[in-house]
Amino acid sequence: MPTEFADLGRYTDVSLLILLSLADGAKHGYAMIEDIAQFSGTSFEPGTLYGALMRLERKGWIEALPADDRRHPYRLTAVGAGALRQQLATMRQIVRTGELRQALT
Amino acid sequence: MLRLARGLLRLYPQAWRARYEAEVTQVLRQTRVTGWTLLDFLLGALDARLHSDMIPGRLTSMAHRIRTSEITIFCAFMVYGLAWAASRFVEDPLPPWEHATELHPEILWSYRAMDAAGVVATLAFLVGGLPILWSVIRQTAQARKGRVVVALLAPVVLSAIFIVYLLLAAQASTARVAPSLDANLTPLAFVLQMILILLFFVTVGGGVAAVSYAVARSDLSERLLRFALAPAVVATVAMGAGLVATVVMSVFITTEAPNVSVLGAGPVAIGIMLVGVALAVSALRRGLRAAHGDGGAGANDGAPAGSPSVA
Repeated sequence: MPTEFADLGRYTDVSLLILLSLADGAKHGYAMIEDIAQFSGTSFEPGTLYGALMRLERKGWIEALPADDRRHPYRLTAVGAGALRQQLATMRQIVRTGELRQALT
Repeated sequence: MLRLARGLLRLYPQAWRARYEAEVTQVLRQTRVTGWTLLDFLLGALDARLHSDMIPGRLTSMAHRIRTSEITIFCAFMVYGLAWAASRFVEDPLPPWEHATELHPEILWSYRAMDAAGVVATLAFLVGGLPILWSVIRQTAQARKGRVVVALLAPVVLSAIFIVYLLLAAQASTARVAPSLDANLTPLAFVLQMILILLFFVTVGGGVAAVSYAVARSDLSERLLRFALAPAVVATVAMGAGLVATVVMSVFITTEAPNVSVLGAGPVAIGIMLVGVALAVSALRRGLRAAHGDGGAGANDGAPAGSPSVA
């Protein structure tokens, strides 16, 4: 796992899901929760969501767009897209290794 | 539930609330608020306070980050210390303990290791903490900051109340329904002991909170804060070693001498020590990274566009 993702500690998985959700276009908080529940079956609470958003924003992987009715939509930055690509490449490698080893047993 | 959830948002740092509260409130209106939501907010508030340097737009100086980590280590040490103190008490009668340690000396060695680790942690804590406390007291005496004066006096007043109560209630709180050590306490004695326990935790908790506040509100030199990091490392390592020794002792007692009872060698005390050690390690990492000037969240890295506010 890339070191930068590991820095996110217990927010690593949530952060990955958020970046995936934003890869599809800018969203505000509730829309992210709904989108993530739909594509991954994972649901989490607003406290966890904003803990991850705080970290991702601080890393510069996402940025807040101007507020729309007191809600800030967020979008993926170029740096964030790069981190997401790297993380997905690592996970693809893990899946390939897993499938190969499973075929051997 | 929604109102309760919104109330819990007040536990978050002011900078976090300025940035996120409005949008979190909107999300709450659209989602189902459950007990898990409330628990998540409690944990989130603790996380935001421990990592307040990550709040976007908030620039924090290196000294501020080191100070925050040292305050956290202080709180962690006090949490650990309570459980460690309990772990030192072998419940009466002593003969089973002495017999057990004669037959199984490893129990005594692990007990002594736990003890020694606690002493080392305490000494390191004093070496690092006393100069900081002295600096805070001197500054407060010169500048006469009202709230900090109150904060410094609070532990003294609370301790005095506790001691006075202890002296007044000592005899009545041990009265039993029959003249035998095995007899139950009288209802009054039971209530007095419960009040004593409550007062103890209020004194310790209030004292820790007050001292933390006083240190957080004082201007401490970077040199002094950096100096305190070395004893903080020693204290944290010693706490970790003490935790390991306590676990080892518990295992030995459980497997080799189950008739012996050590007050704090159970899962609750070990769990509390673990929380203390985990907090201290996490805070120490942040403090050392700040001292080495690692970017983390202290500089302009990752800060969004806009005018950041200086902490």
